[in-house]
Amino acid sequence: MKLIIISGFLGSGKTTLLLGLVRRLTSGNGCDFVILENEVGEIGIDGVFLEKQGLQVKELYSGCVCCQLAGDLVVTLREIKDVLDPDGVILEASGLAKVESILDTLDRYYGELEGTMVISLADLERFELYQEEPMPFVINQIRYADLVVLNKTDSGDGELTATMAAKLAELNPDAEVIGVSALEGSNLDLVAERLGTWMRTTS
Amino acid sequence: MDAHDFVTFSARRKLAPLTAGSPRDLLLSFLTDYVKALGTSGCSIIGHIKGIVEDGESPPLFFSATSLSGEPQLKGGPLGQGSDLALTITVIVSGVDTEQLSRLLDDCLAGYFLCTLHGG
Ligand SMILES: Nc1nc2c(ncn2[C@@H]2O[C@H](COP(=O)(O)OP(=O)(O)OP(=O)(O)O)[C@@H](O)[C@H]2O)c(=O)[nH]1
Ligand SMILES: [Mg+2]
Repeated sequence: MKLIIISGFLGSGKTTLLLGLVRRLTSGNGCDFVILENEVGEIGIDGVFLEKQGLQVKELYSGCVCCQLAGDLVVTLREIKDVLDPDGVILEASGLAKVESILDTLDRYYGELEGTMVISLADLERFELYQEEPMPFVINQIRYADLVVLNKTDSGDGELTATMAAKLAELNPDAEVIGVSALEGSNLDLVAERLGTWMRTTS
Repeated sequence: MDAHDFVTFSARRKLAPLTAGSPRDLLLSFLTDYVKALGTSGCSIIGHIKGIVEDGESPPLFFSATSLSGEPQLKGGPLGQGSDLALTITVIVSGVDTEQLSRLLDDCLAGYFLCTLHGG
């Protein structure tokens, strides 16, 4: 069982991207996934949305898997492995999550994964916010990503997209940065291809 | 600004539309008012305002707002007209506390709906 962590600031498009990717990967690669939704709110919203789309969803809410719910994350991953044993679990981390802490928890307490891939989203609509208010946990999400997805490219022009992509590449020179519109589906095939290749090859 | 500077507030309400307009339009007007009210009450960043409105029969309507200036987004529905609605909402923002978030929610809902608390 492999783990894909989708992280990114609040409202950056994680759920929208996740749905687009799962649809592509289940039809194209025959992979089966369980979705693990983490929300800091006391009531799960994204889980309801994804279940209505026909996905199999588990929820961890009322806290963040990087801190308060770190133990619950490990327990839930074990349960998913024991009961369902899917090819992959896609964890949508809360928008406030520090990815480094999630990876640290997994390193220490759950060594059974066949591989972990972190996809972190940045949001072109928030370009100004990111400049004016560089938030440490958001920077951490980008720094610890294996793949950085610059979402909402439909909301800005090519120049702004290139400027923000360059800033993201500076934060994480080792990761590929792919610009997408998760809403319109543009470039999602490329992200799905990267993920599909990783699913087939990593062990 | 770090993760602990954000405040999270979740609530459920039962809504009866005050006018005969489409529930979708009423919801959009409420959301626009709520975002505006947050902006004038010291909210500096809207992380995400999101939720679900259900009438018990039609497909649910999902809504989302991610900035103080942009338009709220709706997907799903359409909700039936004239029926009572169940609202589930989560608000994650900075600069206002949960009491303010709750009071402003009910103030803004009251412009369009008769609103009662709604459990579980
Ligand atoms: N313009 C535009 N809007 C998008 C895009 N992707 C997502 N959105 C919108 O952004 C809002 C938030 O999207 P979500 O997918 O719920 O974001 P999220 O990161 O899962 O949000 P949280 O889980 O609450 O942190 C919704 O209104 C989406 O429709 C995109 O590519 N372009
Ligand atoms: Mg989400």
